[in-house]
Amino acid sequence: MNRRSPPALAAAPLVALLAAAPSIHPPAPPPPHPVAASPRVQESLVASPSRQARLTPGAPLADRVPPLGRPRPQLPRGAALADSLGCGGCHAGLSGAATIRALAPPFGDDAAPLAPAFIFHYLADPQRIRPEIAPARMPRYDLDEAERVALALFVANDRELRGVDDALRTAMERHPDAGPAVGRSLFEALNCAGCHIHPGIEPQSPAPDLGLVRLRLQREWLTRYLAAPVPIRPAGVTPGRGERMPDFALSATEVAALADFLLADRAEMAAANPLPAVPEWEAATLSPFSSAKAATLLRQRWSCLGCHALGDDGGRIGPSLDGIAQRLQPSHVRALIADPAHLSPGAVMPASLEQPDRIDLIASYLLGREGEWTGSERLRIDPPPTDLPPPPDDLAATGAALYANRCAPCHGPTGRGDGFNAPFLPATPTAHADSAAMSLRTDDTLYDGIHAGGWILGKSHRMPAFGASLDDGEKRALVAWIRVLCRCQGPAWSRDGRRVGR
Amino acid sequence: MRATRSLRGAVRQMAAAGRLRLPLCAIPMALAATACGDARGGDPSVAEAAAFPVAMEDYAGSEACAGCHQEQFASWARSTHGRAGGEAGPETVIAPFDGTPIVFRDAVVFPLVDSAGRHRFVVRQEGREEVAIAVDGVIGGGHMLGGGTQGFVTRLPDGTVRFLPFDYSRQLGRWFCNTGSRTDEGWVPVTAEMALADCGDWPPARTLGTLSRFANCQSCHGSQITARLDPGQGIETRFHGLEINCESCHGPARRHIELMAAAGVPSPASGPSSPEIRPPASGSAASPATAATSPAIPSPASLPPDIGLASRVNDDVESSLQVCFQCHALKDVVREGYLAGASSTGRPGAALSDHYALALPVLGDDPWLPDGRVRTFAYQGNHLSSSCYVNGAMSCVNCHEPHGLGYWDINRAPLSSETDDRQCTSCHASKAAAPETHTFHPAGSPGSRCVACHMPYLQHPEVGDQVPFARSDHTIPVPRPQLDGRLGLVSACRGCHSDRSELRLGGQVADWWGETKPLDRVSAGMLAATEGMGAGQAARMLLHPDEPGNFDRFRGLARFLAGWVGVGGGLEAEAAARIRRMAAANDPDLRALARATLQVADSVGELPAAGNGNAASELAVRRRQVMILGFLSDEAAARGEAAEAEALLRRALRVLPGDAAALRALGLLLNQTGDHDGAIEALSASLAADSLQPLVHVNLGIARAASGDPAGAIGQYQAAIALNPAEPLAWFNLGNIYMRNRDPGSAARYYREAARLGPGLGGVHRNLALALAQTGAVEEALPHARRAAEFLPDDASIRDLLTQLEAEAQRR
Repeated sequence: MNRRSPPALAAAPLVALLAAAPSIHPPAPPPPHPVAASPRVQESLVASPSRQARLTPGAPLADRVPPLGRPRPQLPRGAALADSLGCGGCHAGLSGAATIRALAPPFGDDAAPLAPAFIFHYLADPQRIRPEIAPARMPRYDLDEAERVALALFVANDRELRGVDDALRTAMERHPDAGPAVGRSLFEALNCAGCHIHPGIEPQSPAPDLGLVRLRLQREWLTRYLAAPVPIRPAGVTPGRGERMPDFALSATEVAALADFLLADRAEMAAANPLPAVPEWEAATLSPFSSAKAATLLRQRWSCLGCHALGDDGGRIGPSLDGIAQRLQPSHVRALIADPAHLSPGAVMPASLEQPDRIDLIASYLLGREGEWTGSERLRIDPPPTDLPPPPDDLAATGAALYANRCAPCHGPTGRGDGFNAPFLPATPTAHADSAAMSLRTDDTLYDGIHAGGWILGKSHRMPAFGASLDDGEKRALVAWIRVLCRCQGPAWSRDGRRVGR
Repeated sequence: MRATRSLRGAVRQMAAAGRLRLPLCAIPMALAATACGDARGGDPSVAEAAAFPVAMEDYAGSEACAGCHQEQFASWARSTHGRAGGEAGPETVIAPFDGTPIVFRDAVVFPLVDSAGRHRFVVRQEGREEVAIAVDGVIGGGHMLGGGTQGFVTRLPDGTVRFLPFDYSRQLGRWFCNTGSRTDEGWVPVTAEMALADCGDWPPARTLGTLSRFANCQSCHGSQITARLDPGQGIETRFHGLEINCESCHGPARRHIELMAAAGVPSPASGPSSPEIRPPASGSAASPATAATSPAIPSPASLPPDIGLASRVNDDVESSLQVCFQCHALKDVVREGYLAGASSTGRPGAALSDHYALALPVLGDDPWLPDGRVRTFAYQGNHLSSSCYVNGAMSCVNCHEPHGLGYWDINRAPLSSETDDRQCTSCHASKAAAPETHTFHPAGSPGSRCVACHMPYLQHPEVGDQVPFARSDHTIPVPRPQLDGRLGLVSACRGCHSDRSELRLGGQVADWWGETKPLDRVSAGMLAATEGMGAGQAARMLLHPDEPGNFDRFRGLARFLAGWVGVGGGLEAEAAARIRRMAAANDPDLRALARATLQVADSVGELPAAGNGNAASELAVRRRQVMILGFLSDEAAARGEAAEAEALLRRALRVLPGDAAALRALGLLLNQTGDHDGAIEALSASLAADSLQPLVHVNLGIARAASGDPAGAIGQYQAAIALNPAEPLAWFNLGNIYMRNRDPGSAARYYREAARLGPGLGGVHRNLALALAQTGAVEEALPHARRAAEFLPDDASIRDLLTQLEAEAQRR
């Protein structure tokens, strides 16, 4: 690519950028000096023609943000750290995220515009500034260039695009689809609102309940993970949204403190937020014959590998099953297979319809397998489609929401059989948008497949059975939404005969 | 004489008290009886699969499983498989063996237990010696809900074990017999108006074990039943028991037991129910006391990966079905010698499909209605026509728990009974949410049960309606009262609402459910196709290469072949194209039928390559092709079209040159058409391919006799006797030589031996009576003439002979 050779740049423009938002950070922090900005930041800012007109003062937001420096309760070291880092912004089971929300700059139409170029470069390496708010910090999200472009354009609130430098402009040309709308969906998916107040976006709690850590996780793994998070769910906590645990670049001392805190028996928290009972359970020692049987069940009969990877086989929706003995407590593994929603309400993974002896077998097999837990490659997720038909009624609307989480990862957000997980499946997922094919299937057939799994229709074992996790209305809602996607109805003979109540 | 199915071993496996078709080896002077031998082609690409040969000795019996697998064993022992039969005793016999007579018009039979505790039937007939028949085995326990029966077998001097004509119905509480091949009235309770010989099994004819020579053989009423020729000795019948044992489904266990013993696993009288999974030794209540007190039991992890058995979890739907269809399906014998439980990958033994063809019984007297329901007599193999299988993935074990034979849902959750809706609603959950909107019957009422409408019990028509033998319909149809009535069935609706007409019930169905789910295209085509219809139209109705069910596609093609394909008559392009696509199917039956159809029409052209490049499966296909062409040849011969019959067999020999069965059939045909030299050549070639065929020696002898070589004929009959001294037809034809030589005294000696070995052969009794009459032994001749008339009541020459003999006896 042709670029002008950048002249040298002092840190001052960057400081000016930040200092120009006095309403956000009263009192204005002293300029960090020198900011260890990356060469690319320097380069791009020099190249920016709009740096003279970078900010327009907006309405003060101070009244919405708790002032810094207010007295805080004395917390144990790990608890204080979790509070400062804002773990509660994403995870349930902690006492909220008020502290971080007071520190993190708010965004939105009312906020002062920022230079998109600044956001774009900052997101590439966000931990280099504002040491004064330590131990709070902005974590690193492993964003690719397109994601940074989209987020920058959304967050900066700079409609005239005055704060765009050459690097960002070039990046925008490379990623023409990465506009503010995509940025907004990323902002929502990553739950940026967990820390950054945005008037139009509610914070979520997508991440696992940290009240459960002691029951779920192995200490050694947790320590490693906190020190260097690796994606657990390749496509995000909610399948396909792309939420991810960011890297806070914690020091060894911080890791130890957080691990102590998370693994402690926090009776007072349990009392306030009772944890689901997880029966004590230990993995059995399996013979090679039983192991082979379990492997066959997993690979050829059960639906687990539709979502989870096992070795070189399996989907990318849930965490890899390799090395889970290093990560998870045995009782938790067994309880998860039996009924994930019991442990984490709203879980997408359905409860198992299988019998306890087989669940014991599979849990024992997974926990007894050799292999390191290495985490996953992060999948780049396409933004939500913009051409979804509107749900015609409440039933279809309910179905659409369920479909987005439970079906779209394989069947595609618009039902074209092209979900992000489809390439990892041995069979092409049914295209629900295919009017001709879907008009041959009855509503009851669709319902039954959702209930009992794909294999009962002579299709893939990897399509799970949602029968124990969705109620009758939810299954009917999904059928209604599939009918919207296919713009079709079932065969006439399956529709006409219901004469009850006539 | 009835046409003998020379190639298609018409051996159909039986479930309850027996199928009605009886031995087809009734004999006139010129004999044509056959046996199916092994077929080996000359094509080196068509090789036998012999990766895991198994033998009787590889099986250990269920008791050997009990020590380690207690839970499964206990469950099995209570099941209908575990109680399917056995030695006669108070545990097995439900029929009254208390001396109360079974009274026939011409016989009184006493079922009794003698002083030594042995079960016997004592048969008294006027003018004949009393016969005591030992009960050497009990078949069935009257377990089946739709009609449970019990039969009995006895071991005969020729080494065969045969069914007796005295069956018992638990529901009726009465003795009955099977009149097939005699009065053909089905199964009828014994009455004082019946003759004993009205029962097709008098004298006993149906054998245990697959012997193609006998049309009605049974290898399913017991475990690992084999009946094979022991050269020089006769038939050797062996089995591990008359219950259905563990190894019938799991395969031979001897090696498993040896491997486990070698790995240090004891076979305890008590212990963990399975040594495969052990709870952790440390910790809570899970710690078993046995682990502490039995340090000798090795850690599961130390067991070898190969334990000598494969888990049935490895079975896909097709493999799983093959386990049950060993017995619960009609089938034709492709090759004898099948031993059970060998149908899964990695398992010892050959696949079921190497030995049996499940769809071939469709040919000829199709046992199924156009929609797959039972027309004559069949088992649960028509599951292959159910939408649950064709459009889903249902196998038997989705509803039937295989150890205890109770019921469970698709996720193995136990169910209380065979009417529990969850068998269906664990898949069809949409119907369970608000059942009455689907059933239109009050919740909990008998009519609201899924199986009440979709799996009604249907009496199998060939049995008749006097003895209950109804079986739940495994095609799982939608009730269509008018169609059901047209097909001669009692519709599920009428099963309860017998006071309402089919028209009225059909109206109610339409009122509740509107348009009924359409039939699949093959069934609809078979219902609509009519004789005289053009071939193009018939092809469009019957040939559906894209229909999902192989069994249904086969049935449509078989109908087309029977009605619209002539030998050498060619095919319309569209029909040929459709059939060619079916010739590429994975299913060996369908592939073979498609190829055979193209061959018949001389429209072979370019065929798809052999199945998956697998030489063994190619052989399985070619064997079927030969069977199909042989069947068509038999049909042509029965119509008197000998040239066509020969042309079909010549085609079969192009498929498997040198095939013993095809050569044998050709020899029989040429014998009948008078080409004795040709017959001698073909039969000699058949023997060269397979020397263990006593009946081919007999037929070769007949050909030699007919070509003026009585010495050569005698040599062949003696060769047959050397292979099987108990072969009555060899003795009979020896007698024929002497009769032709005007030596009735010598002939009678051989006929007597034939009559002793084959007491049910009417022709033998006729010729013996004739020979004796010619020697002046009228008194001895008379009972044989009566026997002949008993077994061949329609033979006018026998009636004449009997009249003459009676007159002569009176005159004396």
